[in-house]
Amino acid sequence: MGLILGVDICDDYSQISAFIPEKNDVEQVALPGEKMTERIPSVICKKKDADEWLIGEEAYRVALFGNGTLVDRLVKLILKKGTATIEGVKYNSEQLMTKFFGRVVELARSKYDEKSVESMVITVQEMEPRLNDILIRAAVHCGVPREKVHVYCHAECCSYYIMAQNSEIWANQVSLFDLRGTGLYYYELKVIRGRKPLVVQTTREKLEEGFSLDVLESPSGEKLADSILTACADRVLSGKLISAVLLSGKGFSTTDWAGSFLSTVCNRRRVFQTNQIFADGAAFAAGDLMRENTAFPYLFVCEGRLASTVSLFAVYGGRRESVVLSQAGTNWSEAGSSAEFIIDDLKNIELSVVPAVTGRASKILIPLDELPKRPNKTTRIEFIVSFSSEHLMTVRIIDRGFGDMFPATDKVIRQECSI
Amino acid sequence: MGNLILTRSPRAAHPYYVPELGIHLYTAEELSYYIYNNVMLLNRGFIDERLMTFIRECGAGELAAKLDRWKDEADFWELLLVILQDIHLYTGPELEKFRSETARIATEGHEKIMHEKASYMLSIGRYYDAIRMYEKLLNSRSDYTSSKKVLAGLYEGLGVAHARLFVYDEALAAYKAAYAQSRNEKYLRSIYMIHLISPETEYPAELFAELEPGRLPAWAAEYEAAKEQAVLYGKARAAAELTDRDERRRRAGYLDLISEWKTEYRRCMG
Repeated sequence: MGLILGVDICDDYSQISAFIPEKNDVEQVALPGEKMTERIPSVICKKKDADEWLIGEEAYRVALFGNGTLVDRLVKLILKKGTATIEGVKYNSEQLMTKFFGRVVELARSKYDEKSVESMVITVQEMEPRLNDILIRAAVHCGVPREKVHVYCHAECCSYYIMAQNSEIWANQVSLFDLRGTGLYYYELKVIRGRKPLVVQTTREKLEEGFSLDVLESPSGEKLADSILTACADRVLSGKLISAVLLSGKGFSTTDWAGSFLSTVCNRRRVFQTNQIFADGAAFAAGDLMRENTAFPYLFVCEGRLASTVSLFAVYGGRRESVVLSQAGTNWSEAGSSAEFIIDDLKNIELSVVPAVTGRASKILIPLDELPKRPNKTTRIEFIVSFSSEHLMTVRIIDRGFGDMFPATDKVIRQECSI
Repeated sequence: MGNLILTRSPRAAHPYYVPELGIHLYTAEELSYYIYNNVMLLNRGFIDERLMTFIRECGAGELAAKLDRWKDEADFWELLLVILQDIHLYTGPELEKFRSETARIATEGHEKIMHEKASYMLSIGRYYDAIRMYEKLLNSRSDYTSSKKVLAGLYEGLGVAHARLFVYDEALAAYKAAYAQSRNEKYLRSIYMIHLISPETEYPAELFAELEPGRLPAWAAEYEAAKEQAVLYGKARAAAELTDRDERRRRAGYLDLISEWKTEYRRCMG
């Protein structure tokens, strides 16, 4: 059986985990070297006068000794559509990410001596269509079939990781502090019971209290950081029933500096320090995609997942039924759908939007008056729903005509809807 | 209240050709629409192996099997209703309307139905078929065709069909016969119009002598106005629109248009 991988790609460092079906658990893949580390700096270095590309600490070392050119902040480079010129050759951000991504996946292939990849979930801090597309292409470029690659956001992988743990952990709310070079992020997961399936809601927030990790290099800085985090924990945890607190990110690779913060968060709560929660969560998700019946029978509502179900009423087989166009809890990048309808004496299409958490429906009306005028029941439309974020849905209605009798004009009605 | 009808049937790999209309049907819904709106074109031979293959390709294997089982016993109109019911394009009240219409066809006299069919053929451009039917009815000498009003209608249809085929002498003769039956002034107008379109045709001055003064100049003005409007509609406009295109696209457009007209012409030929 091929590899089942979770790959966390961030601007500061990346991580990779593998799901092991026999153990029903995940393993972390480390960068080989003197200091085996799971954190792979997201940098790439081209060796001088050689077609050799290095990643991680080795890349830093070679660049430091002047034997190569280093490019860092690969995610940011993609988002700003940047390029890098190395030895007179201009590389775009996609080319650089593709090389980096290939080397990261190679680590898992070497560790397990297995080339094929059965399932891969790539996780990113925030879903951006351009970033998602480039990462998917990078995965395909290194030999992973397109249909086996998925991109989830951190909040979603965090949900997978937590829900894969013992249910005592998520008996009440779960908090996660992710302290990294790019800032301090706070995630909160709660399970809304009494629904079928259970609704798992995860929110993410970038906290203003974030600081540069360089602060931790001096004792006075450590003290300051500890007091900042303590105040922050007091603020975000107060009045909440929290059953567990997770700490992740490079900032929490050691907690020796955070005595006061730890005593605040440990108060009647279980606290865990995790190395690579997002890559592990992604690996759990990748493993779940391989199963016939999911091991996560929950409706995930989080950043990256749709919070509402979008449907409309249509007649099928003579009966008027609700047709679900996109289901709450679906990853927005994979939530698009399309269906064909024939219009029967209808002026507007009415979409129903039902949030999973509140259950209160709202309506969206799409007028059809731009379609060509024809006799009744002779306009077939293709109804396409796509998403550019979990809150923004685009509906396209394309006139497909009615065979030779009423040829298609391919006229498109396009409407963007906030959900 | 309006509805959306969800369609999940696949497009047939081999579309069903309808020679009477010169079109192909690709889906079960198109078949349903064709049956519902062209009942005059259908006869028992319609439910044949070609139709069954098409229905199967549209993903309605069960319907094809049902028709296969019942085709030798059930009434033809009932079988059509089975097709419509199975495809679900039409609602209960619409199917009831179809049932009433087919029941009327089944019980109505043969000549009346043939007259309706001839008019339908005329409306869809099947002029030769229409002429054949009108002539057959005019030669039948039945009770139905003994009425002057019916006879005038038959001659009128015949006149329209000939005129649309540019056979103006025959058209003029048919309109004269229609006028002889009903003395309706509208036939004189048609005769005069034909004469204006094709001046070499006979000018029946004796008929026009009965008209009020000023009628003929009014019709002539109508004809001139219609001639001016003609370039703005139909084929003339389609051809005129191509003149703005560049050489390559104009040529391709003309070829498409000619091919379309040829198809239409062949269809009219029957």
